[in-house]
Amino acid sequence: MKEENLRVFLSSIVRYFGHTSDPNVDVGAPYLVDEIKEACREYTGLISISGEYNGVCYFSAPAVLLKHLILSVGETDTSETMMLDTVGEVANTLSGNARRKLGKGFKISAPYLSKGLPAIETEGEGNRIYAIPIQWKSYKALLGVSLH
Amino acid sequence: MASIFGRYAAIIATVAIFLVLVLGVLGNNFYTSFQTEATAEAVNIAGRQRMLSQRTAKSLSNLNFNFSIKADISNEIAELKAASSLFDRSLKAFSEGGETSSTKSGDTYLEQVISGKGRKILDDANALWNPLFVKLSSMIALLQKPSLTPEEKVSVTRLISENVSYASININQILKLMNDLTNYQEGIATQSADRSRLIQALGIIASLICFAVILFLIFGQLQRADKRAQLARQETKKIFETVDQGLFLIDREFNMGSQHSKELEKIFSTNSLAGKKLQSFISDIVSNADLEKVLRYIKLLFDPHKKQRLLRDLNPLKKLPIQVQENGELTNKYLRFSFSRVETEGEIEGVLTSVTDISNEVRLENELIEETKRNEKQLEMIRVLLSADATMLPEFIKSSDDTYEKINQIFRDPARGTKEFKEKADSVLTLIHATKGESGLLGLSLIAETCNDIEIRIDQLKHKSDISGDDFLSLTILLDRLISTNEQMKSVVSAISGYSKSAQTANSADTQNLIKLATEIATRQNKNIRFSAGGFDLPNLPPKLRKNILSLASQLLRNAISHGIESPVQRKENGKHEVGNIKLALLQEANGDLVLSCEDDGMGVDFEKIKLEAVKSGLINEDDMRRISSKQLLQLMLNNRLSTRTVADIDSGRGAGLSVVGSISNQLNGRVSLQTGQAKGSKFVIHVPKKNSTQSAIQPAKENYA
Repeated sequence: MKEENLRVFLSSIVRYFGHTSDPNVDVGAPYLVDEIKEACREYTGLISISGEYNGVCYFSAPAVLLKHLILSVGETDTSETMMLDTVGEVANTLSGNARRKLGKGFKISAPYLSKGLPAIETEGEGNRIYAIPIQWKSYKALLGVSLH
Repeated sequence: MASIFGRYAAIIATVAIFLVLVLGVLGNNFYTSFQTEATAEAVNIAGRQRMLSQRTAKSLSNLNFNFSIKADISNEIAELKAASSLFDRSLKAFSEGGETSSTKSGDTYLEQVISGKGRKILDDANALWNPLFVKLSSMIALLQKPSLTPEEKVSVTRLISENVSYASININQILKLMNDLTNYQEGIATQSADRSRLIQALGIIASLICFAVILFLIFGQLQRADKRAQLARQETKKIFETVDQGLFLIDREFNMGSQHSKELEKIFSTNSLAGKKLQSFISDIVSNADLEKVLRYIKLLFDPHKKQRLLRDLNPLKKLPIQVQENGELTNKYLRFSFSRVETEGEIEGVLTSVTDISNEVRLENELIEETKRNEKQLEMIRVLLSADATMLPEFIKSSDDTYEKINQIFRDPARGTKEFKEKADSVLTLIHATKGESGLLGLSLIAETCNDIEIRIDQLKHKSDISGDDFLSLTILLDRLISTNEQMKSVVSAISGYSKSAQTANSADTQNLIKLATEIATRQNKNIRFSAGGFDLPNLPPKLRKNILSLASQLLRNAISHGIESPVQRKENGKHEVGNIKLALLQEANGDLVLSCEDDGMGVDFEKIKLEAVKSGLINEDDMRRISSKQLLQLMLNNRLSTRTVADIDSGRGAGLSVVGSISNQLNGRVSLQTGQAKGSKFVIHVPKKNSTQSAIQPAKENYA
């Protein structure tokens, strides 16, 4: 994993929240996990990456963060579907920005959305996931990246 | 040209025949029109002969009457002469061929009548006419005389009488013969017209047949050409459908040709390529700079002065990564473009472009590179592990696994604000420094270097006024690298059989490792040292204790070389031998306690410098500095990171070495003492009791050099 690649994802998420009513985001120290389920919250939007790179990137957040986020953009529908759409949108933004920065050899899947633990496993032994804690307002979300 | 003539020979020959026939028909028409005119004149002249025979008879009759009454006969003579002369001339022309007066004006030529029936008529006519004309001529000659002799008068009278008599008998027969002649001539005219019509009809029929043949041949030729073209098209289509390359032609204006291979559509996932500008469909997949290069390159291909062979190396699109939509998904591909000139009679007409999907080749190539890298890494790892102390490896791997897990947990523990993040970094530094020492002792330079990188990053981090979680990105990445290295080591160690050596060998290997480490550090620090290590062959030491003892030994050794021993120049200036002495010893006392000592004849510990550093680091204030004892100062050094070095490197400078010594000896319930004197050297002694307790006792010894 290269630091600049990790920063591409991190700055995408910071920029995403930068466009909300409260643009301040606290980034925690990244740590390593072997499986996605070790670092995820209530709702997860995940995108598989293939091509020149292989791996996943995901955004995982608690319901309360997503509800707040939805309300902050003027929407009133905070249903489960809407919350799943929101994590999917964040994941899409992540991969879109990453593709622009990391080049055309970056193939992405459609977002995989899940409530609860995602039923998806990362491929390959030793390909750990970088879990980066994100705190928006008082809510704690996670950005997960595994790229190899 | 010859081949074209050969291919169309039948058509050309038929067209020539057709033209000949048409010309023949036209010629026949032309000839027939003359013939018809001549035949019509002959008919008219034959008709005129009927009239002339009657005029001759009538003139002769009038002359006879006027002569008998002695009236003027000049008119009759002239009339008779003109009629008979013209009759005779025309009859001769019919009989022998020749000219006679036309019925229109001037003279006209009459063909000799030779056919049986016509000849018979003329022969009969001549037989009747000639005697009459002779006598008429004699008579007219006499009558035209101004005066006649009596004999001539008698002769004239007789001739008139004979002629009148002859004419009255024969003139009707002559008239009938002339009538027959007229009919005969009319018959000839009709025959001629019929023949002409027949020729014309035959000519037209032949021409039509010829025309039909031409059409047949042309259609046949066209059909064959069409069939050939269709066959060629089918072949081209088949080639274009089956060839596994994208093929197309481009002109000088970069327009693509109307045809291209099916593979091209597959490669670019579009079927609307024909006639498009090259730029329009590759601009999305190549950078502007590359596009410019491609266009410039194609322009060069159209330049006949540039050699294609030399241009081949300049091709900018030998391995082009692209991304296209396939079944709604973005797909990455690698393409190879190759360009060849298409020339006709020396003129460059276009450039044949072939596009090959080399994604699989590139994937295999990358896999091969990755595999080679993996193998190289494994080989390197095997080399390192073989040269390392095999008995210590499993313990090292296990303990470093624990360390990495602890570090990861430290990262994971929530923290906010610069202070908390700095504390996090400090905790990591202590752990990583111990690992660095152990890895250095085992000769695992790769790990030692990575640990050193982490120390450098933490050092940089600590100098920042504002720290947040993203400053830890690089640390997490380095931790990931360390964990991967450990995983590789595990796999290699388990793969290498017989790596375990006997305890005796291992113990002597400890000594060797310490010597090796001392040599490496001294070389890096440009110090000349004489190093001795003894007592490390103690049998039956539990592996964990042995690891800790060796870790302490390596930290003390590192400290002695980096901080204690002066540079050769400094030692000379201080009146010392330029080679410094370091003694590392491990003793087991009778009660089973272990005593580790490290003694050097270097510059000794500069407590004043340490005090200043402690103030600078905020560990003590200036008042404390004046009051603090050497014992307390040693405690500070063992419990905190204090370094008197201004520049940090892989061996020292961050003050972590003694804090690791403090930390391990605490774990072992050991006591650390220090004897030191300025320019006299230092001696660290660590006493480790056989039964470890949770309490630590740090007891500085008396400065016996002071």
